[in-house]
Order: sequence, then structure tokens, then C-alpha cells
Amino acid sequence: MNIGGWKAISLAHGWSITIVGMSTVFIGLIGICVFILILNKLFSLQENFSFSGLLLKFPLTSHKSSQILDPQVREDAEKIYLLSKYVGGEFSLESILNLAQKRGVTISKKSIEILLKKGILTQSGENTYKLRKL
Amino acid sequence: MEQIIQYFSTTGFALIDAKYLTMILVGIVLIYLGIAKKYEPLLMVPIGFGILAGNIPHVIGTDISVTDKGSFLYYLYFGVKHELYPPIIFLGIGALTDFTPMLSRPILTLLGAAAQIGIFFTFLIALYIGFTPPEAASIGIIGGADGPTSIFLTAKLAPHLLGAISIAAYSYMALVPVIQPPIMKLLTTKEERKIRMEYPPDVPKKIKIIFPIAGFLITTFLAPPSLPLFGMLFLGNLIKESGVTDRLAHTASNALINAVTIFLGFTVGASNRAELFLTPKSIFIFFLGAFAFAIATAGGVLFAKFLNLFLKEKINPLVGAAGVSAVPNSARVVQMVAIEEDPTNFVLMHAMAPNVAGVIGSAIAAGVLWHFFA
Repeated sequence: MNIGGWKAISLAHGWSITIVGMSTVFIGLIGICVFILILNKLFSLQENFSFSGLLLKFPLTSHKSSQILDPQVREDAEKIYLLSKYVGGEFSLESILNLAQKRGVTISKKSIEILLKKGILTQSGENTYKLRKL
Repeated sequence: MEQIIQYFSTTGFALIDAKYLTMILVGIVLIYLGIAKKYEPLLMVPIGFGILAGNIPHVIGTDISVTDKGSFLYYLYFGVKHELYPPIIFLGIGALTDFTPMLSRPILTLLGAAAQIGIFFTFLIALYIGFTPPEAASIGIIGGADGPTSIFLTAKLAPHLLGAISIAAYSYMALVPVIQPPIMKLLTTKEERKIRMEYPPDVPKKIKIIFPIAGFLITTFLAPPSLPLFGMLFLGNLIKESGVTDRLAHTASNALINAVTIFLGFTVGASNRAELFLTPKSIFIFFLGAFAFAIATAGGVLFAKFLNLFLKEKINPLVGAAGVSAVPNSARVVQMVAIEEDPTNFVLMHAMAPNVAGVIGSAIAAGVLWHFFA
């Protein structure tokens, strides 16, 4: 054991190491915090952008696709599109429906059938599906 | 007859003394705590058994202990001595950790930073008591409540204290439900403990994939000595979240981490030889370890209260206690204390945010201490 006491702390630069250490920990975690905030913001912006793109692709009036999709199916397609952001580009229908249920959103099975039939929702793997690029 | 007597004189029965008996008793107590009380059994059982193996009395030159070059234990101990096992365990932790709570409410990350005050405060106290600076740094890191990080740093800075520090770190991690609640209750009011927090939103998959890459870059740029820990932690998390390397994630979070945990626990236990462990320093280390935990808990809780002065959506200050990185024990303790006040208040998900941030914070602190004393 050394002599100890306040002198030992000063000799080992204890105070400055403590300040540098705590500052570094805070800077690191604040950096991560800010990065996550920016990332979340960017993604919500991108989501809004994509969402409006989706609406343009499925307009309610005066567009060819509006004759194909009724408003309910179109709304369900939008919901699937947004939920798919949380489970990855390719997803199982089960995971989408579970997530929808968890968030109190309803997606009718009939809409899914129609989207599959129209080729808007396509099978990409054994149990996975993806939404056609819109 | 002479040969029989000579052989008997080299056996453990003839060489045993009070020191070895004490250590064997310590080993049995740890095994008991792991099996009967379920205190960190995955580590307590191998460490306890390792203590038995490391304290078998033998004649010098038999080459069976961790320090005898060429022995089985010597080669297994190589992974501890050269800091191989802790980063591999971090790989498994990364593959097991879900950063979603932290990503969905990033402000809670700061509580994981505040709790690291326990490390530096204890470092100062250890210096004051008379430990050398590298020893003090190794003792302080117990306050990070992160076993692999404690071993990682101590193996580098104060290998002679590895046994006492690792046992103190894991014992206190197991004793989180005993140490933390009184401090949490002392520093909060009933009303504060009842604060409800809105359920955190989900996080897009892409953010979960980007985070380990960005997190790795930010932390290693800031604390390069901790690269082995961060590299493995974030790699583990990336292979989990990417969704295309499930086999790797499965191996890292099961077979690999389990195998390394056995080697780490057993050899750390075996390194606790009587002559190194039964010293006044060990008693100080155990005392300071408990102190470090207490300060870390208080730091997290008080910082949460401080943040509440500025936040519109208040944080339940109990969540701050999870800033010590004993994952997920301290988050569970937070939940336990919260439901004592209000059985319908679920804060576990929120507590997981500072809990995983604490893992990152303690590894940054280890990097800083490494830089100054290695």
C-alpha cells in the first residue's frame, strides 16, 4: 500500500483523471444520444416523404390505380408499408399482423388477398413477402 | 513403506493448512450461493469450483496451478491474462442485447453516463486509502457493475488483484437486489417512484442496423483502448440485427458465450490462490466494491431527478439506478421497486435503456483508465 491521503490523489492526478473520465463518458453517451435523435428525425422525415409518395401512387380519384384499389385496401396497403419499416423490407405476414395488433391497427385479410392478387404484395421467400416498389 | 510415507507427504492431506481450508470454504460458499440462492449461477458455480481447483495444496514443481507454465490451467488462464475472454463475452452480450429501449428514448442514455460516477469516486477513495493508481483504477471499475470489463481492465493494470476484484464484481452484481433498493428509496419520494412513463415507440429496423456501426465508431474514436470491448459488443449486435447472419448471432449468444463463460469463471476462480486472496487488500476491495455500487446507483437516481427539472415528460428517477450496467439485474430491480408503489406501473423497458447505456459507459471509463495507467 502507498502512503495514501489527499497527497496520493494529487500525485496520481486523481482529480484531473476523474474529470477527464466522467467528461469522456458523458461526451460519448451524449454523442450517441444526439446521433440517435438525428437518425430518428431523418427516418421520420423519410417516412413522411415515402408516405406521400405512396398516396400519389394510390390516388383516390382520376388515376388508373384508383379503379383497381378501393380506399380500404389502399389504406391497408399504406399500413403494411409503414409497419414493414419496423420488421425489415421483407417480412412474414404473421409478423406484420402481430405488430398491427400490438399497435391497435387493423388490417383486413381480404385486403391482403387483394394486394397479393394485384401483385402489390409479392412473395419474396418461403414465408416472406415484400411490397412492390412504389 | 518409506515410499508410501514419501508419497503421502506430497498429497493435499499432508500439505493442507488453514489458508487452503479457508479458500476451499470460500469456493464452497460461492458454489452454494450460485446453486441454492441462484446468485449469478452461471459465474458463481465455475468461479467457486475454480477456487477449489486453485487451492489444492501441492508440492512446488507439480505444475498444476494457473501460474505454472505448461499446466492445463496456465493455458486456459491465457485468455484472462491477455484479455481474450472479456471481449468474446462482449460479442455474446451484443448478440443478446436489444438496444430498442435506448434507441426509442435516447435521453435515458445519459443516466447510464451519470452512474459511472461510482467508478471514478471509488478510484479516488482507493487512492486515498493507499492503493497504487493502477490498483485504484481496477478497484474503481467494480462500480461499473460489469464483470467482463472489470476483468479486462484489472488483467492489464493489476493482475495480482484479479481474483479479489472479479469475485467482488460478480458478487455485487448478484447482490444488486439487496444493495440498490434501500438507496433508491432513500433518494426518492413516494410520488417520484409512482411516475409513469409512456411506453417507448418501436424503432425502424434500419436504425437498429445503423446503430451498432455508428455506436462503434463514436465510442472507439473517443476511447480507443476499449476497441476490443466495443468492437465485439457492436459486432455482436450487428449480426443480431442485420437479420442475415442468424447462425452467427445464435452461436455468439449461445455456444460461444457459454463456453467462454466456463473458461473465464473457472480460471478466474483458480487464480484466487490463498496467498494472493487472503490479504487485507481483499477486504478493502470488497468494502470499496460495495461503496462503488452504492455511489453508482445514487449517481443515476440523482441525475434522473436533475433531468426532471428540465423535462416536460418526467422520468421515473428509479430508472436512473439501472445506469449501473448489471444487465438485466438492475433493470429488474427498478421494476421491482416501482411495482411496490404502484403494481400497474411498468418501467422495465425504460430501465433497460440506461442499463445498456451503462455497459457502454463503463467500457468508455475502462478505456480512459487504461489510457492513463497501462
